[in-house]
Amino acid sequence: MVPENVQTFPSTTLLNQGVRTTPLDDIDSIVALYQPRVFRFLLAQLHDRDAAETLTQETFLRAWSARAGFRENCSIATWLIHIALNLARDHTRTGRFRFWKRVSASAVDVSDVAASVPNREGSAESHLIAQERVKLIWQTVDTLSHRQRTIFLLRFLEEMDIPEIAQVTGLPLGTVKSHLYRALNAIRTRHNSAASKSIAKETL
Amino acid sequence: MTPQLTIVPMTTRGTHLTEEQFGELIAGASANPAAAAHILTCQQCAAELDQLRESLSLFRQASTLHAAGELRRMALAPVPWRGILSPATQRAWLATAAAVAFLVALLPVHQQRRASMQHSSAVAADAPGLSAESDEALLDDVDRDVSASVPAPMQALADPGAVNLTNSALNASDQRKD
Repeated sequence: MVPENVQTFPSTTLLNQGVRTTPLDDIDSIVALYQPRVFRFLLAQLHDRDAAETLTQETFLRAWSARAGFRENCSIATWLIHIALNLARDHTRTGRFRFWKRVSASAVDVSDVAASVPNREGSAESHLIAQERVKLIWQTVDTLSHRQRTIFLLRFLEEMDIPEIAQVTGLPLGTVKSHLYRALNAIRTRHNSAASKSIAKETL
Repeated sequence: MTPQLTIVPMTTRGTHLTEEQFGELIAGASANPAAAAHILTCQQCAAELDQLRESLSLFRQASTLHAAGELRRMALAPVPWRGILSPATQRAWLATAAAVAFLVALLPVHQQRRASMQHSSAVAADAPGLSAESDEALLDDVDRDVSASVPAPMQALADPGAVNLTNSALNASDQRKD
């Protein structure tokens, strides 16, 4: 989906003027290609539609404004996620965010996310179980610390490898691993607890 | 020098994988060979690993589909003017927006006043006959008062004969008492 008003970025003008070109000059293509990914990451990170929408727009504006500084030593996706991550961190630091997160009408409803679980050929019961699992992970992700959540999402939502996560977050490899394992352990604990509860229900 | 064999326990939880080993396997980091070998022999750990992998995969799929749906719904679009407008133009836009917001805030108050005024005029319009009658009666009273040559309490003084008659009647009654 390419929004119409993206056309107003003066990329062609810059190209005609002989300004040094970067891969980010063609902002139309960049937005079309990476907007869903950036938005998905911010939505999972903030659990708020409006905030994710605003920060996605801000990410592309910042990227476009700072495109001259893009040295191509990482992929465009990594660079955009890096910008989005910084914006999300600044956003969540404010007390205003914490207040609005409690009262916001645009907060993500976990049931809506779970409802998006694709219905495979399995039974209705297995589909319900799959939805419950997704709900559980979303809820657990919300309880993680900012760092753990970020690293977990970069690994399992954005499918970045550990060195790439270290590059985006600016953390040492060991720290990334340590946060990732802790996040996984939290999810695993709740996952197992839910599984044992469902087994107990079945046996009753 | 012969290499010394050290026996490292597989886990701190008995015979299963540690938190770190499990994390390494799930995250796809370079897992140690002992953990990889353990998975081949331990059905419990293998089943747990498979379940968690599947859940994480579902989490990714659901999040992706949900985000795509939200994006379509909101018709998300960058706002290029935000970065391109000069600060002065931005201030002008903000001032205009504030003025519009103020007017919008005033609208309910204005509507409420207008509604109450309409209500009172409607009440008056509902009883035009009654209002006209009471006005006419009032005017009649005023006319009567104005056209009266002598104020009502002093009407007895207007006829001197009547006064004399009254006085003589009083005297006659006094004499009778005596």
